[in-house]
Amino acid sequence: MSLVSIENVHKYYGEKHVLKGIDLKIKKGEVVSIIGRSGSGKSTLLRCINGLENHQKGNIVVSNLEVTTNDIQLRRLSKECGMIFQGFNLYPHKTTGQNVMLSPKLVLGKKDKECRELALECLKKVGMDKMFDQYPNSLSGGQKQRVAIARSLAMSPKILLCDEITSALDPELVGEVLKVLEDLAKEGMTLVLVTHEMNFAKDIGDRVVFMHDGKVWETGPSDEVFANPQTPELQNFLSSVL
Amino acid sequence: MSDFTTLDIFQNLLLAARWTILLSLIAFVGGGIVAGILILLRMTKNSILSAFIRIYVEIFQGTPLLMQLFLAFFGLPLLGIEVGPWTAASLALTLFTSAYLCEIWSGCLNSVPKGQWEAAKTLGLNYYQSMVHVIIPQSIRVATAPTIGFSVQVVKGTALASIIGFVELTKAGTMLNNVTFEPFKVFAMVAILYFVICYPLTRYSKYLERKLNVSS
Amino acid sequence: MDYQLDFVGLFPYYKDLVSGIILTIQITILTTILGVSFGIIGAATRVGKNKFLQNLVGGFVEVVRNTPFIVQLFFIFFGLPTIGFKLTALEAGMIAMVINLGAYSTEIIRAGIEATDKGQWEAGKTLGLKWYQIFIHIILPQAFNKISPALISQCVIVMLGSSVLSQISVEELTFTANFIQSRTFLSFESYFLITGIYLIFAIVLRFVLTVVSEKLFKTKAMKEGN
Repeated sequence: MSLVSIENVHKYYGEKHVLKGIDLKIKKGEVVSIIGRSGSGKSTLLRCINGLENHQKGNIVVSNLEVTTNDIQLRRLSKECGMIFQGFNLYPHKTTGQNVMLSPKLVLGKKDKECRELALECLKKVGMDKMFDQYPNSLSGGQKQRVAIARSLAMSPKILLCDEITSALDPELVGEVLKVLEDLAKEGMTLVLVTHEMNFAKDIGDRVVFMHDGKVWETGPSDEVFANPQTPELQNFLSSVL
Repeated sequence: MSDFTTLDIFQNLLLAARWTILLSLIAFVGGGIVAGILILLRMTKNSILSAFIRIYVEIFQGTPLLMQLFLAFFGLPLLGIEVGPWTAASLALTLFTSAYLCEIWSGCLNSVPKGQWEAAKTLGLNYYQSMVHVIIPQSIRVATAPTIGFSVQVVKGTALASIIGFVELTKAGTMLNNVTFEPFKVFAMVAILYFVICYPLTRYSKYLERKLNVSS
Repeated sequence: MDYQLDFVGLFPYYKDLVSGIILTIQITILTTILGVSFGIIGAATRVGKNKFLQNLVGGFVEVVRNTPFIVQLFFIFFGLPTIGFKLTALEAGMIAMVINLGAYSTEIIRAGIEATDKGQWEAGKTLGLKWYQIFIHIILPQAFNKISPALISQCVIVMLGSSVLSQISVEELTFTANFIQSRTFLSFESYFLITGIYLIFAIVLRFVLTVVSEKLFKTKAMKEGN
């Protein structure tokens, strides 16, 4: 039984056909890297999985919940499926701790004390518990992204969607964020990453999905795909990024 | 009771609207000139002048326009200058407008990035040359939208001149109301006429603002 | 100039002055609270999902912003009773003031919301928050942070506009000035004194609102490190 099941998904932006029949199944505990050139539809696909974008045709089912345009359904989905953004999207007017505590309090209805403990625990996981009372503006990019991950973890999702989460970081800060992802992967968290970090995809990822022209062009276990790309498009892409 | 038809009311209001427009133009042009002078004075970087201008702006933005009209109307005669509603209204509205325009324009001058000053300086331009050739042309682009937006406030401000007896649109409305006893109709029509004058200005200001945002 | 200014002549009327001051302060406090509240609701409607409400509020805001306050006041006080809405002068004045501040703050707050990063809505959504929770807890504080100077200026402008309520005989500060000058014939002195009081009001109101908005929206914390 797969955790995420995507069947023949099509997505249009007006006239533009951005996803042209995507089929993809993701098992629990899998780490899937989605790679491809910009404009290939990889971020759009990720955003369709949790309903931030609506697809026009096909089915997406996440943890037995069908992704629809219904707000109530999408809120149910958000408890199963967390998302980390390239631009962090931390709440700038709330401290690190408050960022993490807001949803457990409002959505899960937890008591203040419980929220606090939960936040501390999640922040500890990403090594940011010491910064509980800091505002996001005083943190580095890597620290912000780690807080964003903790914020998602506080909702105890079954799956984390990561949308180019290291792309906005200075090179020396990428490592600390990837380390957190690696730890999560080891704990059995299901991760779906749109990423430019090929080494990470190769070393940590179980599976690679290469997207091209709105389609899943090639997919397979990471080591195989990187060692032995089948299509000229993937060969081309890999030689341009590696 | 009254012989005024709706059409009569409308025609009278339309005639009175001329004075609203004229007074607005006087205040706007006069205010623009005074604001220009204030900005020039500020450019001298004299700290006493700057303080004076700051206080001037603070006073006209921090007191009711109605009070400014009263003070012009009742105060000038004390100085031996006999003024009618025309002069008092023109003067008060001009000064009121100048304070706001001075602030808007200063803001626009300050909004030009520091890099532009530095570029002009490294290319050998002095302060006034930088101002005239580099800073002011860029500021004007930024200033047009809020300036036109503020002109709506000037038009609306002229309505208060009715209180010191200046017969413009609002005063004509109250006078017509006194003879027709149809306040709902009369003041609705007054409001519509103001809207017809102001709304195009509002739209144009928004259009310019959008155009500027797209181009920058 | 032969005229000697006579401020002492105003002194016997200090009780009228105090009651005028108190009424203006009361009107200001009530208007600010209600007007900004309406602005928040208006802005929520403007960025909300209901197209009909969006246009309704948008149209109302434009009507208010493009007609003079005094005409609105006359329309409400003189016009509405003819179609069955009887209002006291103070009620009519309060309605006009609140509508005015409400309309302007709707536009100001809406601009602040639109200047807030779209990613903030997305973050809230992916973390399971409802639309109104995102609006109240995430978007609104950030919007206020951006627009609080403009909103505070607007509150001051509307407070100063309360002087026009004197024209429908609300016994506020300007009415008091008119009253004193009609008794003493010291018109310049009366208006000069009252103008000074308004100036103090404007400065104090700006200060108080700045402090309140810093307390409520932690504007300082957000700016640190920027």
